[in-house]
Amino acid sequence: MGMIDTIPAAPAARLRLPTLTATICVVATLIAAAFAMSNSYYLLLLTFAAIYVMAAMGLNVLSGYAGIISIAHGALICVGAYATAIATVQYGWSFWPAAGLAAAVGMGFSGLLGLPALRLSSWYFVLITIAFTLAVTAMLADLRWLTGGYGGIVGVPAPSLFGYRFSGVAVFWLVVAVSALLWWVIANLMNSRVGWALHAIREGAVTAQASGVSPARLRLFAFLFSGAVAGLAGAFYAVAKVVVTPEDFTFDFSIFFLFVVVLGGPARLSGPLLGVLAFFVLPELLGSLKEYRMIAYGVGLLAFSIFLPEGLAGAIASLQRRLMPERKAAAAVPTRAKPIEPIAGTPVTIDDVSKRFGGVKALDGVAMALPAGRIHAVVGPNGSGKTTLLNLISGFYPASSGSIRLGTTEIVGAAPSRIARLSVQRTFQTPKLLGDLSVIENTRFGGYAREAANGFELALRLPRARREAADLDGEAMQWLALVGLADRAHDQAALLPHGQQRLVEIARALIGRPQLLLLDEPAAGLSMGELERLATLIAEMRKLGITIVMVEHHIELVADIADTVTVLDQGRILAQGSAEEVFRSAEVVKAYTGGRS
Amino acid sequence: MSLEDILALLVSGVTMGAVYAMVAVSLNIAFKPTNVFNLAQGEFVMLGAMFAWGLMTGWSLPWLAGTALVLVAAGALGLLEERLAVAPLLANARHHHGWIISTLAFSIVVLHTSDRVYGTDPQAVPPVPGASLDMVQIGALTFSTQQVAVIVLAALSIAAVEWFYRSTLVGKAVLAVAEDRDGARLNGISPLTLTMGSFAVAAAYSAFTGVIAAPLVLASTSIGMMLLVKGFMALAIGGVGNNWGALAGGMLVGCVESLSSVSATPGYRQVLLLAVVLALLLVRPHGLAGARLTREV
Repeated sequence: MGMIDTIPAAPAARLRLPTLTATICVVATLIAAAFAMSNSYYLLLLTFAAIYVMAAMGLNVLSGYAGIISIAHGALICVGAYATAIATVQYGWSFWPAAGLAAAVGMGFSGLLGLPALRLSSWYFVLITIAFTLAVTAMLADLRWLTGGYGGIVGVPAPSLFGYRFSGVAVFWLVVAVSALLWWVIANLMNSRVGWALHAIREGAVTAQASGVSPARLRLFAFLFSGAVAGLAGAFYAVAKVVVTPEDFTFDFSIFFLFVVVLGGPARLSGPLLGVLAFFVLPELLGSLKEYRMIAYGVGLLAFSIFLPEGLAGAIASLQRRLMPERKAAAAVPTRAKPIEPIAGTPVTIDDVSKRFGGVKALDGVAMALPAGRIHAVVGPNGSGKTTLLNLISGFYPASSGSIRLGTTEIVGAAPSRIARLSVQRTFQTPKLLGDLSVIENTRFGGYAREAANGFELALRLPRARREAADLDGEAMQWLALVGLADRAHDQAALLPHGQQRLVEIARALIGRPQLLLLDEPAAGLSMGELERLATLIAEMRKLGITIVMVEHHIELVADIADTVTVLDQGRILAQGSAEEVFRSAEVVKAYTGGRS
Repeated sequence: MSLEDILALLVSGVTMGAVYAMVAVSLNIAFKPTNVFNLAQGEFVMLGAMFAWGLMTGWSLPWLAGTALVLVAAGALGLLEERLAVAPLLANARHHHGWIISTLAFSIVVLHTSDRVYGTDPQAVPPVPGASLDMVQIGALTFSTQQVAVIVLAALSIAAVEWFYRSTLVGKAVLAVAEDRDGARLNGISPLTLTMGSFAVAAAYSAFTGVIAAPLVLASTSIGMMLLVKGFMALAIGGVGNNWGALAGGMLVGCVESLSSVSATPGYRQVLLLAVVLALLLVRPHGLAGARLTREV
């Protein structure tokens, strides 16, 4: 691409883990490993702990990052363990293909259970997973010919690699190594557009769709990924246990994983490790009252869900924020301004569009022809249908009738994410940023549909994924510099004042290289300085060639920069034309001053 | 299989279906003003059954007095749950679906505490006054009067719930809160009181379900989770919020379950039911009769 003449300076390395959390994780893991080496009881306990961490990391992707609560994780581990035991003991497979089978089976079941949840509210999924867990438990007894009934399957062989047989300590280290690898993969994914998209879906999906994310596809990914990890963990469980019986996989076993993820810290990398160490290993070592443990788990779950929804990892992170001053990563502003390649704006034709909400006509027979590369302002009193119009163009509301075309492409009826992929970007009346993420991550997210590297490349940080990330990081810095926020690139987005959040939203829209940009009241809540910057910015965008549709109350701004103005009143077009013509019209003045003769 | 056998299976299917429908309706009652799907609802059915055993069998209280006490106790616990596990989360918009975890946690505490208190053995609870567990035969039809009592009470209570929502001011207020919490508040309705009331009533209604179902299924601490799942299935089939749909859905679940018991083992039966519900949710996500609930930007 011609626009990048100089390789932009990569932004300073992001702090992926708060130092305090990382330290605690490393120290705790080392202590645990030392215990494991000391005697065979601890070794077994910690081998299971490592397997549980692996499994919980998978659940964290689904229930933490994607925010879809599942009770079926234990049942999926059970299915994976049985798949491994059956393949190795009854069919004589070796461990590795059996582990692959276990992962595939776990993935398949998880995807199947998730299908209705792609469309429905996620609480349906909770109940489906409860039903699945009960059904799996009952089936183990029924399928006696396959599962060995209550006696289970005995003698799962140890894995071997190049003639080396893993046993005892070696199995522990094998599980630790696989878990570490999984940690790295999840870290890569969650620090990429996949992770941001999951985050956006968890926050309500609107931001995600506006950036071109299909929520159903991302949710399906989370189901498949967590199911595969559960199956794999099940394979190691079968190996560590040697004997697989139904009584290992009670309902409480499933609850346990949800418990570990929620208390450890949902949507945090270190959550599963901290959760397992604090709430499984410690109680086991202390030998605390086993009979009352489930009650304690329940009380803990209730208390954390109310008082500490960020879990242990979140508590440690906020402790660090309080104890240690924020380490400000110096933002690398591109040293040389690079020319940004012009964008071919798209013309928009709106034809006789109406939108009814029940009996209310929010828009009634609206028609507009917007040539490419111009600034079109839509003004009108509150409730006149301005935002509804933007929601129709971006696909968040389906039009009741009429046609909207981008160039020659009809978009009425298309999903918002598909419209976003046609290079339509938008901002919102109240900025919808992902508050927990940094400003630059929020900006990068706008380029979601531009990234070519697939999930696999992102997970393993293959060359194309790395190159693309570096390029887009540089470009994001450039856009942030343009909106005047380069120095805040690494700050948490939620900490920015309202006006600056708006500007971040514009940067997020611009990195998507929109052919059509929809701005919903961009000037609302801006300071005088920010307002000037906005006017320059919009002029800059026009120069690039972007078609802009802007809903705005700030009449001076509109009069200054808009090429054409449409006045809406009660869902109908009151006046349309150049800014001068429109604002001189008597009808418009009347609608604005409230005089209805 | 003879006609008598099929009819007997249908009777037991319809009876269990009525129970599932009542669970579904209690889920609806708590859901209406809050949009919270109370995962502890099944445990209130269990508590109803266990309390009834303790009061009627243990303390030999008469049925009516025992049932009244059960309803009051369960209602109080429902209120407690709302205060502890639901209100703090509804007050904070950042918690999203936090109530899924908190109501599940509440149900875990209730279940395992009951295990400690009552033990895990199933216990017998006396039938509704005037009914008995003895089998009566009329032509090809075999049934017990307790079964009839359960079906009749389910239908009557659902009719009463529907009448309440449609014809009383408080009922209409609940529907208004369900529609628009803030809007209702502006009109002088207190969503807080209605939420608390709905949780208490839903818990009491669940407990009542437990009292009348217990003579048939036996009272044990393990029945709650199973009833929650079947109640959810009835709800998913009938459409969330639709009480008559819940009754139809419950009947369907009950009959599929009992008719398939002829040739399928318990495991296969559960898989079959799960498959039916999954398939239905894929084709008709909002139930057979349910209207689409839209919630947009």
